[in-house]
Amino acid sequence: MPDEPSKNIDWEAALEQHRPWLRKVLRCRIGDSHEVDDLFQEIALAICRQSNRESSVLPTDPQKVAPWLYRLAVRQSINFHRRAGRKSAAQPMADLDSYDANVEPLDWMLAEEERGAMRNALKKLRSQDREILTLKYTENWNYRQLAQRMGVKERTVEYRLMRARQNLRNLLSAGAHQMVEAKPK
Amino acid sequence: MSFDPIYLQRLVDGELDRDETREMLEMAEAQPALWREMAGAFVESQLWETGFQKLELGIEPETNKTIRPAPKRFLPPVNRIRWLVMAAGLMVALTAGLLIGRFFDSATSIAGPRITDSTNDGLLAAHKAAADEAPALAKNSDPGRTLVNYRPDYRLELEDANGNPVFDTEVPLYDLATAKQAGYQMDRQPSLPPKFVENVGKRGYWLDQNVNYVSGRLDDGRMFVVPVRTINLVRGQ
Repeated sequence: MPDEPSKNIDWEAALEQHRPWLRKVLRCRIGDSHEVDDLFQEIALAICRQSNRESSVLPTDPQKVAPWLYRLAVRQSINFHRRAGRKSAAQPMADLDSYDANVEPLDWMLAEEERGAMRNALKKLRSQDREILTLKYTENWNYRQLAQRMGVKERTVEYRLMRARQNLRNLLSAGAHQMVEAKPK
Repeated sequence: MSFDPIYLQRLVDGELDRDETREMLEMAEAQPALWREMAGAFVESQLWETGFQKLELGIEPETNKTIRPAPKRFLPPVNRIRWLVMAAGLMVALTAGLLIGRFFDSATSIAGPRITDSTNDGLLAAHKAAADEAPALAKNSDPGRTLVNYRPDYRLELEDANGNPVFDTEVPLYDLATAKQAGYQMDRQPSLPPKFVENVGKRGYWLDQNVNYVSGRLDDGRMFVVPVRTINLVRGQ
């Protein structure tokens, strides 16, 4: 039986509170920042629709708000890919036009190469792997915090992190081998 | 011999308790090769964290551009047209509101006594009575339509500051149902008619269309989101 819509949860505030990391999740799964904005609006609309229904599926427990929003974001991103006919390849990270005149050109080039290797590897990484690593490294959450947001057990987070790191390691390693082979002798 | 990858990951992520950490350090002390493995894991984690944070700086552009200050300098012709379009739109909306308001007022006041034995008859009677009361709307009346579906037809004509028509065309305004019947993609792009857009393109303009969502809360606690569409005429390709 679905929960009754909670009058205690301020959904507007909840959306604002969880907006930064939810945007990262969408960004990891969708790529385009404008589409992320659209999808985030659709999440807000979905909440509005649910809150106006008599038999709402909105959670009543504040602890379940984050995992519910996470599932909603994942569902919206899946629907997005369906609508797009699975043609849109996610582009996880934008290219940085990051040349800083105060940095030595060589240092900048090396740093850019490093970032480029990471970007290329992330493009090839599965979206789920990209997502959990992004949340881990940019939000600095521990396993418990990640599990609370994603609505899974800590052991699951641990396993997913290990798998994601292994996949990223393999991709970075493969990229390094390609660079070595491509160098003129 | 090497560490269990799960334990190594927990160590790097700071998820081991004190006893488990001591146990791992003792293992590394007994087998110096494990120190290298441990150091490598820490360095890798540190590099990745830095890498993700640097890349992440480029992925979070703030795109909430809901407020655009009006230009204070001389308005170019395109801006004049835009203001005219907005003014015309407001006029149409105001007129529509007044007419529909009058229509519903007259319908409700007359429909009551005429409702006979079924709801549809009542609605039809109200519709006809309202058409008698409001001749301006009567030409758009269709006996087969109910009050709920009733929409008068409006057209928006663009004029420049001198009153001359812009683009020699009228812009029909559609309600959602009509536009869907006409095949326009109303779900995501409640758009201008393709012919109009084509004419605009031929004249060297393009339409910059954006939808922003304004959210709010009603007195009874319900949230609402209103899509606000902005269309700017921009010169050039």
